[in-house]
Amino acid sequence: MAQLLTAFSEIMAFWPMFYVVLGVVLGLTVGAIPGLGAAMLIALLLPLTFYMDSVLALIFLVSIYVGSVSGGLISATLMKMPGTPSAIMTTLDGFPMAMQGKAGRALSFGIFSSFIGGSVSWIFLAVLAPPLAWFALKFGPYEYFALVLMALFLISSVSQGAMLRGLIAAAIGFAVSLVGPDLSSGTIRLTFGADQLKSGFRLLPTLLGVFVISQIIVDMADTSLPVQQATAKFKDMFLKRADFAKHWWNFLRSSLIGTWIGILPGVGSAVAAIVSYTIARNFSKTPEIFGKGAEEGIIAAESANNASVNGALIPLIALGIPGSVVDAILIGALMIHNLQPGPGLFVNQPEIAYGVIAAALVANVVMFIVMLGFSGHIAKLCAIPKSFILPAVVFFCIVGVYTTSGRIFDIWIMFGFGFVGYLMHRSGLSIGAFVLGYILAPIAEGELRNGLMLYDNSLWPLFTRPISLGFLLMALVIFLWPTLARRFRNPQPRPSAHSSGQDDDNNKPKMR
Amino acid sequence: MRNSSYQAATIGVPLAGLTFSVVLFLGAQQMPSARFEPMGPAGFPYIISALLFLLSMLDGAIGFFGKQSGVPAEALPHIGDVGLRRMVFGGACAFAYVIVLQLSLLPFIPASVLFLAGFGLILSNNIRREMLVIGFAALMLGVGVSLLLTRVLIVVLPGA
Amino acid sequence: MKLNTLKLAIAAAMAIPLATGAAAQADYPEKPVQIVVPFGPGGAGDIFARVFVNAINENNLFGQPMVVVNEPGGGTTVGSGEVKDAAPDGYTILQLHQTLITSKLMGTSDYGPEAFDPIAETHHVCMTYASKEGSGLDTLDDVRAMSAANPGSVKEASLLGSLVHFSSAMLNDAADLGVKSVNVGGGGKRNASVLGGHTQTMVTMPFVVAKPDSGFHGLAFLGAERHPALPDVPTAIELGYDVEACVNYWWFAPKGTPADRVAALADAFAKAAELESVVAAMTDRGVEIEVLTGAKLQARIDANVAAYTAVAPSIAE
Repeated sequence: MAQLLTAFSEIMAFWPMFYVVLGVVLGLTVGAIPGLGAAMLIALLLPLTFYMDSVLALIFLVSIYVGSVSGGLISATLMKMPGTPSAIMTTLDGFPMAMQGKAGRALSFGIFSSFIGGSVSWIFLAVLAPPLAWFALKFGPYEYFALVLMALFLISSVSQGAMLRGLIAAAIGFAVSLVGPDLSSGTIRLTFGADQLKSGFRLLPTLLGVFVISQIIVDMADTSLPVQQATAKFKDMFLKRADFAKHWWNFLRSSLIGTWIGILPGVGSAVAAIVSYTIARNFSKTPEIFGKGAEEGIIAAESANNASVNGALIPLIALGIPGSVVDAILIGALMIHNLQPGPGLFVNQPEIAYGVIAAALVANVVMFIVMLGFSGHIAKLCAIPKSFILPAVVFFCIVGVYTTSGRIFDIWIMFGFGFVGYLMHRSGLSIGAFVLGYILAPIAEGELRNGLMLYDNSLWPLFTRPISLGFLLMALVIFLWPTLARRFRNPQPRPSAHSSGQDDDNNKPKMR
Repeated sequence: MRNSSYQAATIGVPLAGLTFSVVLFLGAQQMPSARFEPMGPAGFPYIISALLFLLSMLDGAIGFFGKQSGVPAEALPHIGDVGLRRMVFGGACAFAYVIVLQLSLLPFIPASVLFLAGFGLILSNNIRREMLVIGFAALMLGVGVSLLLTRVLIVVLPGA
Repeated sequence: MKLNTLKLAIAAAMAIPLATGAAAQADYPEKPVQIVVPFGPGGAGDIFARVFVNAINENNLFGQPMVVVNEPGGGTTVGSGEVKDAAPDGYTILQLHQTLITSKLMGTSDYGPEAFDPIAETHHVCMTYASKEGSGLDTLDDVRAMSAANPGSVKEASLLGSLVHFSSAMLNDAADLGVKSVNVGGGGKRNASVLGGHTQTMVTMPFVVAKPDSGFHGLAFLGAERHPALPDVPTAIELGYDVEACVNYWWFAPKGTPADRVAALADAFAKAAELESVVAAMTDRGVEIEVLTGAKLQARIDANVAAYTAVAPSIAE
C-alpha cells in the first residue's frame, strides 16, 4: 500500500502528468478515428520510447491504451463506426440512440460506463493482481472453449429477430476466419494458391471493411440522411442519481465480467464487451429493445471493454504474460528498458510495477474529465458535413491498415469487405453476427483442438473440469433465461409468445 | 426498389451461403489429414460447410414457399440518381488512389491530397461554396498526417 | 522554424521522383533501407532487431537510416515472401532465423534460406528446456521416468510446426524422453500453460527461466556451453545427448543483390555488433553476440538446414 501511495505522489509531478494527459488525449483521438488504434500507435511509438525514462515511457503507453479503448465509443455512437474493435457492441445501441436525438445521453452513458469499468477493475489490479493472475492460470483450453461457447450464444441475440439469417451470417464469418494459418497444426488453409492470403483476413482490414467502409457506402448513397441535432449541454452530460439507481447492477456486473475476461490471455476487450452484452441482454427485463437504443447495452459494452484494459494488465504485471495484443507490445516496451515483467517486478523494480498501476487509475480519471469536458464539442462532430468527414475516415482507414501491416493488399481486403458489408446491409444479414463468428470462431476452434490434444482426444474433461462445466451451465442459463423469465412473469400458458411480440411495439414509445 | 432488393436477398442469401459452403468443402479436401488430434485442419471447415449448406437450403426453401425468412435488418432508403452517382464516383476515386499508391505513380502526399479533395468534392452538396475549404482541409490533412508518420513515427509510406 | 521544415519536406517529397530519375546510378545507399521483421512489434526477435537498427542509425554506421517494418502473419511467411519478391537492390532486408528453414519443411512456404542472399548473422540465443518449479521434474531423467511409468503423461507446451516444436523434437529424439508435444499457442500462452500445470515442459529462451521468481526450472540448456545466466542448468551435451538448438538471427537480402551492397550492409551490422551499447543490451537479455559473414555464414546455415531436415520426420509423426 505504502509503495502504491509513493507511486501516486510521484505521478503527480509535471512530467508524469504531462505524459498521462498527452497519452490519454492521443489515445482518445486514435480510438475515435476508425482505422487508427492503440495497437498501431503504441507500436509506432515503441522506437521513441527507447529514448525515454522507463517509468515515463510506461506511464505514457498505458495512458494511450486507456484513452483509446474509451475513444472508440465516440465514432461508434455518432457515426455507427466502431473506432476500435472493442467498441463493436457499442454501435449496436449507441447509434440508434443517437438517431433518436439522444446522442448526448448515449455519449454520457458511454463515458460514465467507461469510467466505472476502469475504476472497478483498477481495484482488482491494485489489490488482487497476484492471486487473480495465478487463478487465471487454472484456465486450460477447455475452460476457454466453454467461455467462448457462452459468448457464441449472443449470435441469436444480435441477429435482430431473423435467427436463420443471423446464423448464416455467423457461419460466413466463421468461414472467413478460417482462411490463413491454422495455428493448431501450423498449416495454411483455404488460400487456393494465393500467397497474399497466407496471413488470412486480418482483424483490422476485415473489421474496418464490414463496419466502416460499408457504412461509408451507405452514407454516400444516402443523400437524405437527417443530420442529428445532438443537444449535449454540459449539465445533460451528468447521469442522474436515478440512472445509477436503475443500472448499478449492470455497471458492476459488466465491470466484473470485463475485468475477468481481460485477465485471460489472448481473449481481448472486444470479446469482453460481447460476453457482457450477451449477459445484459438475456437477463434484461426488456431484451427486445437491445439493438434499438438500449441504455443497458451501452453500459454493458463500455463498462466491460474498459474494465478489460486493467484486467489485461494483471497477468502482465504479475506474471509477465500479456493479456492482449497491446499488452504484448507493452512487454516489448519493458524489454527495451531491460525490465522483466513478472513476479520479480514487484520486488526488483517496484517503482515500475506500482507506477504502471497508479498510471492506470490516473489515466482513467483524466480520460473521464477530458471526455466529459469535451463531450459537448464531440457530439457536434456529427454536424460536420459528410464531404469532410467521409474522405478523412477513408484516408485514415487506408493509412491505418497500411501502417499496421505494410501491405497494400490489406487495403484491397478492406475495400472488399466494405462491399460485402454493404451487400449484407441490404440483404438483411446481420453484420454483428458475422463479426461475432469471425472473432469468436478461431478461439473456439483453436482451444477445442488444443484441448483434444492435451486430453488425449477426449472431450470428457469439458464436463468434468469444474470451471468449464460451470461455464457450460452458465451458458445454458443465459440461453434459457429470457424464456424462463417470461414464464415467471407471465404465467398464462400458450399465447405468451405472440403477446410478447406486441409488447415490443407498445414499449417502444415509452422507451426513455 | 425496396421490394426488389428484398427479392434479390431471398435468392442471394441462400446462394451466397451455398457458394461459401462449396468453397469451404473444396478447400477442406485439399487440406492435409489430421496428424495431431482427430479434427485436423479440415475438421472445422467441413463442419461449417455442412452447417452453411443446411442453413442456406432452409433459408432458400422458406423463401421459395413465399414465407418471410427474415426482414432486412435495416430498412435502407431507396438509392436515388445522386446517391448512385456518388457511390460510383466515390468508389472510383478511392480505387484510383490505392492503384496510384500500389503502382507508385505519384508520391504519397500529392496522391493523398488529390484523393481527399476529389472524394470531398464528389460528396459535396454545394461544390462552389465548399471547394476552397475542402481543398484546404485536404491539403492540411494529407500533408500533416504524412509528415507526422514519416518524420516523427518513421514509417515508410507507399507511393513513388 | 516549423513552417520551414514543412516547406522543406514538401519540396523534398516533390523532388524525389526527379532525383531518382536523374541519379539512378548514384552510390548505394541513397534512400532509407527497410528492415522487414516478420513478427509483430514487441516480441523478442523484434526487440533484438531494433537494438541493432537503432544503434546503426544513432552512430551513423550506414549513411542512410534503417527502418524496421513489422510484417507478421502466416508464421513469418508473409514478411519473408515480401522480401523474397522485392527488388534485389539492397533496400529491402529480412531479419529472420531458423523459422525460414522450418516453414519450408512444414510446407507453409515453398522456399528456404536458399532463396535469399545471406548478409550476416549477428547474434544468437540457445533454447532452454524447462519445467515448472516444484513439479518434481527436476532433470531429464525425471521426465523420462515419468513418461515411461505412464506413457503420454508428460506433455510439452508447444506451437506445432514452429521452431520450438522442432527444437523439442530434437531433444526428445536424442534423449528418448517420450514427451508429447501439444499445441498451446504463442510464448505467453505457453508460459501460462506450464505455470498453470496443464502441460509439464516447454522450450523457451533462457531469460524467461533466469528471471527472478520466474516459477520455471531449467532442465537442460541446448547450447554448446552453459548459459551465463543459468550456471546451474547443464547442457544437453554434458548430459550425453548431442543436441544443440539455438535461434540464430540472420539478415537476408533478396537473391541477386549486388555483392558490394551485401558487403556494405554486412559491414554496418558487423560494426554495430562491436558497439559497447549493443553488446551490453544483448548480453543483458541473455543473447550472445557472434558475427558471421561470407562462407562461414553459409556453412552455418547449411548445417542448420541439415539438422532440421533430419528431425522433420518425427515432427510429422
